[in-house]
Amino acid sequence: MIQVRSLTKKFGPITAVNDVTFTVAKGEVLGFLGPNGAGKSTTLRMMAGYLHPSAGTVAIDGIDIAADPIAVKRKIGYMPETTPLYREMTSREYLAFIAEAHRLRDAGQRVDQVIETANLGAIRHQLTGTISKGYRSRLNFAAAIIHDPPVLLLDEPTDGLDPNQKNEIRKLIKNLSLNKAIIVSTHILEEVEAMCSRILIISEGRLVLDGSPGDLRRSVPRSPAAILALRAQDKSAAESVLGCALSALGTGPAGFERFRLNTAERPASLCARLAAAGIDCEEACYCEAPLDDAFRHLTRTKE
Amino acid sequence: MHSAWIIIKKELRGYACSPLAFIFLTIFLAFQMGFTFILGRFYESNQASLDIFFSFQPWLYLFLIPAIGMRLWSEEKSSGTIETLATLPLGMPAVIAGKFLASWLFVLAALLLTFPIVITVVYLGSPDPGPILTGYAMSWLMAGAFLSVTCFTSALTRNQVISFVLSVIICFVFLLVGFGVFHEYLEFLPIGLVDFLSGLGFIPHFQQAIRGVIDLRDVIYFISIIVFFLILNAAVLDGSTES
Repeated sequence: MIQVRSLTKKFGPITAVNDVTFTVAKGEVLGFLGPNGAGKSTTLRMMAGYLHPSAGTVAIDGIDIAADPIAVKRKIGYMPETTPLYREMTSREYLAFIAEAHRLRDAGQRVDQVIETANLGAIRHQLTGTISKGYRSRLNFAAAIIHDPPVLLLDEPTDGLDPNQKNEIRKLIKNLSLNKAIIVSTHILEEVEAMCSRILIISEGRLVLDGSPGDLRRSVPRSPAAILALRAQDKSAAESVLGCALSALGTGPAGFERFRLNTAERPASLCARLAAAGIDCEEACYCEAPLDDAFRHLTRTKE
Repeated sequence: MHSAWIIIKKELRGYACSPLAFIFLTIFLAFQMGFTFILGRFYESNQASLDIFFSFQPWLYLFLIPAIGMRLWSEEKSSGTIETLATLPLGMPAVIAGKFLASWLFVLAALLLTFPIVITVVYLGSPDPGPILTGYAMSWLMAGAFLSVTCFTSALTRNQVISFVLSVIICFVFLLVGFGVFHEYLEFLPIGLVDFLSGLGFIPHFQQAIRGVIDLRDVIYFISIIVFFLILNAAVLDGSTES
């Protein structure tokens, strides 16, 4: 659905986006990650037709954006990071303007639908210059989906929302993903786990990872470790049975504490050895690298 | 052209909702009448014509048209809505034309609201309707030329004040080069060049129409100015997405 090839953007001597290539298929939600200033917004702006690429191409549904920008823009729902709005319009007027620009036949009906979907009923007749940050985001989100486009480009769609609203928008995005190709830029890693099937990480304008959240975890070199939940008083006994030190992680299930140990042994066999020694083990699992460790590892600037 | 129409409607609604637009109308009408009756001594002139009324207009436009147009692009840039506008399936030429036309229609409304002066002249004497009609028509066309300059300067910056000042400066040059007095200072230049420059001024192309003559060359002149600055406007907007 989306094909991006060797996309490059130079601002004077600075290369903001450097030779980025990827594709997104229908049904995918792509998490677009990277530190601030890595080139996420610049990439999305080129894809939405706001900035001209210095080199490379963007094609949506097989149509090159340079060849037929209007046809491509019809297929894209774009939510800018800055959540711009026309202050002198009410929320409903704003959506009606966007609907008209997309030449929707059933404009009035679609406007009411997206007001419902994005939960904007309360500010329907309020001037957009006076609404809160959360509403601004959701109004921009509503404007992006109003023409039911096959491609959604969302630049930090949950920025400024409270946790409940974040959850709602994530659910909406997941629901929409069935028949769309969606790119969501964010720097909230839990969000990526919650809704993305694929991750793209960009650092200093270059792609550094294209894979699943699991690929991201595995990308960080790390000594293997396991986590066990034991009774606090069994700690020293367990250490002598297993032959390695346990470091406390915090409270676990009722009456148990979680411990971490550096070992390549499988959690199940650790459990079995403890049971043989008469020590209760409530929980045993691999200790995966947290996503933000992996993120930091990949995007750390080379000094 | 449906895209341009969408933008025209949006911009006109912007004017209708804006207190600034009404302040502008009031100032425009007050100055227009003030110039004509007080500075121009309309009654003392004892003429049933709008010569005096029209001859002040270029100087009034010099400040008021940049004030109308300064927000056109600067506001879109400073509020970030230009990103929305540029990513909607409208096409920039249609958006540029739509913004210009909407403001031009607003100027037309302001111009038509000066109708009491026409009633006054008709009531006091029996004026020749020809010069009044051609004067109004060419005045609107000239206002379009001022406005296109402002569209261009507005696209240059996100700051409305800068866009206003730049526009006044450029328009002032266009007024000066067509102003007889100014030519004495250009005597060091070849005569051909002075003639060329004076031909570029707004006023000489307007004066014919006040006398009741519409010269096709004047019409072409103003339309060329409008098209030229709107093309510059497009180039500036394209450039700002390029660098």
